Amino acid sequence: MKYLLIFMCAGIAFLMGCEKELPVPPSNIKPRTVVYAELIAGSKGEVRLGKSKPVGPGINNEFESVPNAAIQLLDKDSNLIETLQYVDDPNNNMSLYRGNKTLEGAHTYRVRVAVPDMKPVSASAWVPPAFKMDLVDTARTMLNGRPVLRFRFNIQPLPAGIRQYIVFEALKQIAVLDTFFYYSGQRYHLTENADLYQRVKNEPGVRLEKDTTWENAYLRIPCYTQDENADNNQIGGLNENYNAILFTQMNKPLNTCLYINATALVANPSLYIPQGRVMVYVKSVSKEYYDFLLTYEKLKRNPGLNSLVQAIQLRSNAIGGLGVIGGVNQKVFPLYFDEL
Amino acid sequence: MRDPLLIRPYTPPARQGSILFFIQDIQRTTGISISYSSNFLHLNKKIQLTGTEHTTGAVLNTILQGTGIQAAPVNGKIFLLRESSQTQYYTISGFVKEVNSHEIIIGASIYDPVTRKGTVSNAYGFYSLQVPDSCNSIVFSHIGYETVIQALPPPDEGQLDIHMTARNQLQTVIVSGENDSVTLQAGYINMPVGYVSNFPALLGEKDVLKSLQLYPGTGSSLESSSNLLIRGGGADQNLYLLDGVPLYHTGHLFGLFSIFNGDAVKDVSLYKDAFPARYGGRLSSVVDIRTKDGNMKEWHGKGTFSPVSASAELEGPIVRDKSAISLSIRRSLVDVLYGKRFHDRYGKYSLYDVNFKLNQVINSKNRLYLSFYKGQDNMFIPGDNVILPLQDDYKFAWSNITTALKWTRVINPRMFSNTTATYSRFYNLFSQNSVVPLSEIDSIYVNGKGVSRIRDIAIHNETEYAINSDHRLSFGGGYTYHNFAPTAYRTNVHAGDATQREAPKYYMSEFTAYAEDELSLLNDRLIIRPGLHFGALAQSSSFYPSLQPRVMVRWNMPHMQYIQASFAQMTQFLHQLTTPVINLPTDLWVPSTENIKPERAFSYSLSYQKQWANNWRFNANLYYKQLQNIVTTNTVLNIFDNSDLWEKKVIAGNGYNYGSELLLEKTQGKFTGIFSYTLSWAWRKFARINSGQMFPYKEDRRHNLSLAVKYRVKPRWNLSASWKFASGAPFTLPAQIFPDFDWGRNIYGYLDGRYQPNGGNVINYLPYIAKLNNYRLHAVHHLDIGTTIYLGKGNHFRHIITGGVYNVYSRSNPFIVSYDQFTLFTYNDFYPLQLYQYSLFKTLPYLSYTFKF
Repeated sequence: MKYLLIFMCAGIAFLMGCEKELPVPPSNIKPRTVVYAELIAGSKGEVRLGKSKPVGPGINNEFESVPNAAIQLLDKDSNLIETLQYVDDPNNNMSLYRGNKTLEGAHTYRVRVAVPDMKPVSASAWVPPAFKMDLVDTARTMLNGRPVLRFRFNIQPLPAGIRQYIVFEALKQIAVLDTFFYYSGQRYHLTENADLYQRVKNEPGVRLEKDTTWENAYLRIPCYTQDENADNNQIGGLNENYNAILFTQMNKPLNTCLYINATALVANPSLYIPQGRVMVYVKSVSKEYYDFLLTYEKLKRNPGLNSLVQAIQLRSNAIGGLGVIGGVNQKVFPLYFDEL
Repeated sequence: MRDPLLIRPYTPPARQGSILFFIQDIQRTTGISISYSSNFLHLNKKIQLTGTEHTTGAVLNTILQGTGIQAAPVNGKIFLLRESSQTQYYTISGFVKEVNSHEIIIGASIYDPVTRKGTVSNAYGFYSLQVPDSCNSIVFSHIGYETVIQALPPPDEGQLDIHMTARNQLQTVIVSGENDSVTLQAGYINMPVGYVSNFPALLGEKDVLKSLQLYPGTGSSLESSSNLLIRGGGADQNLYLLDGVPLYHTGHLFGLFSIFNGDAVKDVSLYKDAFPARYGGRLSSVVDIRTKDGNMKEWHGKGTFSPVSASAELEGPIVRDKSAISLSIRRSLVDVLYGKRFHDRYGKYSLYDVNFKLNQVINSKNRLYLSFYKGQDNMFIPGDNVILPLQDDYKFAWSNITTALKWTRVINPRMFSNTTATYSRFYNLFSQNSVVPLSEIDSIYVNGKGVSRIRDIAIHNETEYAINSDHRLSFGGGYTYHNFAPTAYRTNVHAGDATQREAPKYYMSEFTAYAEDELSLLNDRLIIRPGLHFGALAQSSSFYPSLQPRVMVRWNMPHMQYIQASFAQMTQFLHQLTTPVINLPTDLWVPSTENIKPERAFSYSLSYQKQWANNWRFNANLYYKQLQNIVTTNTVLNIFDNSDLWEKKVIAGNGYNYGSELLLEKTQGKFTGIFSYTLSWAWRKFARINSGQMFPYKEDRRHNLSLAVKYRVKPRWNLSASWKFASGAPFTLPAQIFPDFDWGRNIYGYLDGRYQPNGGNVINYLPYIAKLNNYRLHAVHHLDIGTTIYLGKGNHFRHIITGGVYNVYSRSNPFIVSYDQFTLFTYNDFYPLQLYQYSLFKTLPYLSYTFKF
């Protein structure tokens, strides 16, 4: 509804046929290095790099990759732990760098990024300690007419006086089902060698087999809450959907229900829902990351950068650059609904 | 008293009568000649004898009691001579009215031409003035009317009602009760409706709020919007009163037109500073609109037709000189003139207004007014419209209803009071029909209805007391019962696991009391008006009292010049939560609560005004306004959702507005006009926005300039033109863009019900905003021309043709500016990013025809 009114205004303007491109004023500011990192306890360090584009005449929304950066993972005293290596994968929208050391909870890490001709970026992130939680029950149910999957969680607080920032989210990792066959000791994809298969399918040893490949691509599943203590209250209504459900917890156990949209659980080509597995995340995150996620939710809810609405400023802890470096301790619940 | 002339037996024929009656009867009955001067004897003053007076001296003694005059027998005559004491004063009072219709005239000056001491008729046309017995005459003057010089003492007993003739004879003939001149003092404008039709208007719709925007310190958020912004304040900071009834939403069609039908309005007063103590409840201004009282003498009517709207007006006496009514109706015609196919393709829109007023004279001292207003907007947008296909069908219907019963009473010649009981309701209904697919074979039909409602019931009293010609007191108070239900939503969809939340409702009591003293000192060179307004908002969880001092000091100088300084503290208990800058019916009015404090403003102003005899007027103002606890939201509120807990999204902060204003105006003659210029700044500061740094308010405009002229080519033909200029509004242009967080991690997909404005594209970037409102949109300016021709002189039926052209040079003014959104329908992942400006109106002619009888 909120967008509708703005659309109507735009509609009136369209109707009047008075659209005009305005020159964007030239900019003399320099691009910045964009750093996204979730430093997850129990995982290897991963950092995604990109470059920003100063807003000016003649730009588009294509971002260049940054394969030539030097990224250091340091401890809180700035001692080098390791240097992250570039992972050459053209499927990544941003340049991915990965380390070999497993990160630990209740530790503070620093990330230093140096990109040639760019301002260096640094940030530190506290990876929260492991937290105790129980998945009390799950159920399929309805929420305001929509089929949803309900998870009832009980999460224990951190020691007294320490604030814990909890994030719930759900993604569906896209899977590609590959059908292949062996012939003469060679593996052939069925789709690419359909003629060959037809010729040899009756020969001994030739049979179809299936394999599932996990894509480096995810579908975001809308999440819901009915809990008035959720910080999503600062963003929108409790009957709305969100990227993530956010809680600030201190001293008291958190008993809450997370709802995820069940429409996306099972593949449905007509609704553009691919096959894959659903992963429900319960994360304890660093404060800076939590602040970023709160403003990110607001921004994604805002109908664009236009003169009718107030722009949202994203929070960031990347000194000298843009993005966020967050510490995470998480529990993941993989769910399989599609036949893979 | 021992003189035979004074002990002559005499029994009055009645115990009650005027001084003149008894004097004449004594002369007739006893043959004694009585000599007196009417200059200092108020002959029409009514006297009540005690019944014990049986001599000429006793009767004269009683009737002259308190007048400072004594009876002196000299040479067989009785002379009524002034006692040795100083000049004596007596009070004259009454109503100032228009000669033809008996409509009351507000703001007429009534003064002694010798001492220049005087007063001004109040909002009900009432005046009360103490004059010395040496005063031979008093002057009634108003810029829009011929001056009346009334000889004293008054010819009749009782009230001295004065009837004035409009200066513009043409308008007197054609539009009884209308005049076209503005009363302007520092920080105050009173504009009769006749003035509103002076200048060109968008689609020919005369709009009182847009006419006010010609004056300095006023502006609008968007081109041709009736959204009135005063000295850097928000639209919610104006107190709109329609016949004393507060209104919360004043826009038709997203504020393109105000709800105040020009045909029904008599005049509008705008207070920008030096607020009288009787007003309270808003921070920036008071817009006091009064509707026509109805013609007490004869029936008149008129009808106006244009390609987009029609209106009709009827006024006249039910009982001549006793009671009159005024009825005005206005309706848009777009939905009537275009067929179903048009509505299916583009949607349907209509609006109407009804104004009714009954004006009942009970007696010369008491009068009742009953006024009613209803305005309604209806809008339907089909999901499959051709402009911007949506997923759902939408309906909007919003309406205002107000009723006021007002009782005005002349308690005595020095004291006037009005008591008003009011009812005000704003009701906004929204409904949505949609089909939400759940799977290939399954979907749900959603029918949702949302209501946002405000109800006020109030009673208040205002009393004015003229202690003497140098000292006036006004005081009063009131009570308002507020009932707010800002968000209520229900749907046919089964809630399932969702918590059923009651729509929030607020029941509040608001109390007001005020007192104000106006003193004229140093032979009227110094006027001081201190005042105190008390307001309090009480509800079950909170109580907010507020004492608001006001003071105005004016130093009158020779040659019609004055300097004025004022201070006013204002408190606003109600907040409007809105993100867009357009005037939407969905803007949410909420009260101060336990967590959200009332907003406060401290206004300071310094003004200079000079007037020339040939009716040129120059006015300069400096102002500074500090705002505290003003609220904003930094997210998009969805008011049609009971679960959207607005209190969690409100941030309180401060504001600072300052600037200067200049006005040069020619008010009379064949050529009249206005030139106004405002240089202003408006800043806001919120702890969690823009890193806690000050940033320009969305309504900050550095320069505002208006030039409006009217030339009377012939008595029955006017030409007019206006040019308005406003600096560009602030806009947040990102300094950089950078990869989106989700996109950067190869996470895709839409959230349900949250489609991107630019169709099928997933936006893969985020904006980096270094500073809020760092960029300025293009300036808004347009030249409009118009003409009015009056036909049918001397006939019972008269005709007016009004025509003109809006935005003559077809300026593309910014209505919406967006970075990327709204425009691009591409399936390419990467595309150019651009600023897009959408304009609403290019050159737009208008024509309307009015007939009158």
